[in-house]
Amino acid sequence: MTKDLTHYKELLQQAKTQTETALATVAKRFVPELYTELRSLGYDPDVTRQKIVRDCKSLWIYEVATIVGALQ
Amino acid sequence: MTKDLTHYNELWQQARAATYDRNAEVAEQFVPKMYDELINQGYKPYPARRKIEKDCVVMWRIETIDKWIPDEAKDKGKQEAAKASVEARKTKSLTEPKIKIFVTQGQVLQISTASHLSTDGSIWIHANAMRDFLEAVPDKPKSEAPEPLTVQPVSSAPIKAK
Repeated sequence: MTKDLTHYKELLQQAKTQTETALATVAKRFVPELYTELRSLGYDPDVTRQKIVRDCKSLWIYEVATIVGALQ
Repeated sequence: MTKDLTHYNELWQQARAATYDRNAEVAEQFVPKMYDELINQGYKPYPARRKIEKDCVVMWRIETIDKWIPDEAKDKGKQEAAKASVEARKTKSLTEPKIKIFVTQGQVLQISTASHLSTDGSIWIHANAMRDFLEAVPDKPKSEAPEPLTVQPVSSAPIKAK
């Protein structure tokens, strides 16, 4: 039987889109708080950004775009 | 100046928990649909599960995915794991050291472990079988008991039966 995975791929794409949206929401909420906390501890802006990207890379798969988006 | 990252780490933990929660929500919504679609297209349960895990591992943790996979696919996974475990035990049993027994006049002269078969009439059995055999044999009266058994290292030359 030939497998038609068209609908499966559509579902997978929807899942990815919704995941990105969900992760962006979480990042938007937490990244500013993380940033503010590090800045209050004396971290430079660039170092702060790099640290947050490094620390959160494992959380948000589409990491840099998600995190940088939340920083803006 | 030493930086106190306690609060930062707490925030990070909260972000992680929120991430897992949101991922779980999306996975709950999509994994059952994706699974049903694969089954409708002729996939067996376990291959369907594997495909979803492979395709979605970049988005969600395996645990999150498996949470929404039907039991029929999980049972198959357990079966395969059990089968692999049995095979591993069989392999281990075959590679276990064997015991070489030298017998003369009805008495065991020597038991030694060795790694090669010989042509001197000695008997080879698996260590497990030997243990079972020894446990099954009732204790003999002292007067009939053979000389104490000696266990020699692998490299020792066996004592020939006279």
